[in-house]
Amino acid sequence: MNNTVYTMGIDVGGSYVKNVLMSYDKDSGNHQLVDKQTEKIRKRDPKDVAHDSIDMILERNNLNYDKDIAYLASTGEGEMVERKTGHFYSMTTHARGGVFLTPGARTVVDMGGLYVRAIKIDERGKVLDYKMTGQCASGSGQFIENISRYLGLAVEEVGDISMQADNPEVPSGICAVLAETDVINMVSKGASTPNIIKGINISIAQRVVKLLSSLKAESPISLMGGMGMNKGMIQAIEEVASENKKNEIQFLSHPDAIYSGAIGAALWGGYRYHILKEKSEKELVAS
Amino acid sequence: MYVIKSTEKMKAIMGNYFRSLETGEKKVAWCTSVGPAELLRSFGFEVYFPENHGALLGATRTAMDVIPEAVKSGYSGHVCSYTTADIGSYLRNETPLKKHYGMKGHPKPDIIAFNTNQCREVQDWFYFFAKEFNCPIVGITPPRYLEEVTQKEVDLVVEQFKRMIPVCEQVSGRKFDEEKFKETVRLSKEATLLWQKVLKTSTAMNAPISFFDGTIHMGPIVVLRGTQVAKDYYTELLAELEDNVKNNVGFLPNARTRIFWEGMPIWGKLRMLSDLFTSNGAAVVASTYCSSWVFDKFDENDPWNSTARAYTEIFINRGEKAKMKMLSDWFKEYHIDGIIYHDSKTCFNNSNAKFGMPQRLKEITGVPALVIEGDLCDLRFFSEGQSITKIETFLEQLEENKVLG
Repeated sequence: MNNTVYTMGIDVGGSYVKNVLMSYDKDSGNHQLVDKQTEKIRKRDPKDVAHDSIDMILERNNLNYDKDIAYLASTGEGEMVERKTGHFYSMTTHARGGVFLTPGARTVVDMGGLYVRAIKIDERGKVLDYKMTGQCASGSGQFIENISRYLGLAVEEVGDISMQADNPEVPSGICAVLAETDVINMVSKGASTPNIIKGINISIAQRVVKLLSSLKAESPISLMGGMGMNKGMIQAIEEVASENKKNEIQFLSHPDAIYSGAIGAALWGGYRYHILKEKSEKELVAS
Repeated sequence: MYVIKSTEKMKAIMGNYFRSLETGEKKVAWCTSVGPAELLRSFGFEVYFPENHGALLGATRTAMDVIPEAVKSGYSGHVCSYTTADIGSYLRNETPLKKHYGMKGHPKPDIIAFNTNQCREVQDWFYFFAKEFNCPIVGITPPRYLEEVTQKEVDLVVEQFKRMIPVCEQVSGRKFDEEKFKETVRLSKEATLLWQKVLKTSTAMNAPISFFDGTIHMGPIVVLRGTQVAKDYYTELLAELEDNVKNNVGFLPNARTRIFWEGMPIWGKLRMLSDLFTSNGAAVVASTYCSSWVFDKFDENDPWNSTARAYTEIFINRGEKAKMKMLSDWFKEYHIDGIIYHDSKTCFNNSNAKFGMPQRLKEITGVPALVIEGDLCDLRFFSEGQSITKIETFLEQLEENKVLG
């Protein structure tokens, strides 16, 4: 008898669809990340992107949706995913995914395409409080994408390039439109690409650190979401926190940070699957 | 689908009201929405409220087309978008009053009256039109941001009200008639108390009127207070809603959370927001905005003192302690789970999220708060995507706290 249960988690965000396949081993009680897939939505219908992404993962792993997947859990804007078994609130999924990727975290920061959200959790991953950035694009991953496109960079390069900065140029405007004007000005002044990118990362890091202090966030702090994969961003957050005399804070990161929501959804899906299964077994016995 | 049946009647009343402004039968006074309408009516004026027009420009999403015209004339795009939309609409001679009510445009004023109990912007706004129409303007400038309203403040306002008499007499051609004034105050009081009862029907767990419905049904209490028409309308509406409560009929049965809306409505997004809350199982059952037209201190036996007091005691004209006390009482009365503050970009005076009140009130009451940024009319200050995410996250968290304790 096969002792492995497969669940899928799909997180539909503002810019990307993130999809994971996870396995649960009944004997050891271990969860494992088996496969993952990120798709940029571009101008497509997110529902179609999600559909294709699910098929790709199933095919790569020789799995059949009806036979092999115990639970397909959606989160974020994923309520439109057709084959989902159930939907989970994104705060609970990011918290759960954050704890999975960075065990021991007491705060999870979801740094996504549209906003940054800091979530305070207890030792079990239960959400205690949260804070989100205000209505401003200059604190979002999409802003970094726009600037990197303007500078002719691929978004994947941004982290490494930021680390090469020697004299970062921080934009003065807190509004994305003004900040973009600042960047144009920096380019014409001859500022180097690493210094511009690092400056942008610092400006976002300043907002993240402000958010964390208004939340009275507890350490260790896990940096998740798409921007959590940007090494330059993590470095900038650590530096800004240190400048603000928050040296005692420990920041945790993980190369799969972008999947925190999808992983959390897959784990919650597995949990709900077991609850439902136990319930139906009990009902069978009772009848 | 839940429908408030009286809505059709309300639409007819509002149509008749707007059309009456152009018949020439009565002289027209312009007045701020929480201004001395009763005194003006006692002189036989039909009263027109430019803020109501501002809301119409917001609700029809035409404000953004006309605001740039006011900006060209030197009015900043960051001041009250009722003001800029109304002035812009006048300058371009474009108004939904034409299409919706068959009017020619802004009704011509014979006199203009304002009360800065709500903000200073109304003064600049109304002076613009007094100059345009070359008509007399009278203003009430009460003490502002009061924790407590004492007789001293009331006396000051009474004195200013009385200074309006000679101007009103001259423009209307009628002598001031105290009995008429008392009668108008009586009708206004009766309508406003009915309106208060209408709002309070939503203290029921299966609430029959939402904040979003309230912003529509408040039309008569804003523009027709002091008339029998308003009194009759709210008598009928109240009977319908009380009946619904008795029969356990509401706009969102089995609501999972109950929300309080603080600040201005986002007029151009009422439907979108109403649907958003409903689809997330949240009933928005009360607001400071709709409660702003409850003047329960009106007393026809003491018309001067009681109207001066009622108009000075309004929520927007109070200090933080008084505001927090009013909000805490409403939270209990309406069984509120969470409060949403609309931080309106161009309505500084009716936004209470800028000086830390949400945090302080949460500490006192334990009711979680969310601040969303937007505007009453100018939707360029409102990000739909970000606001939806923020509201959904807030509602998720409220529910989770309710379930897990």
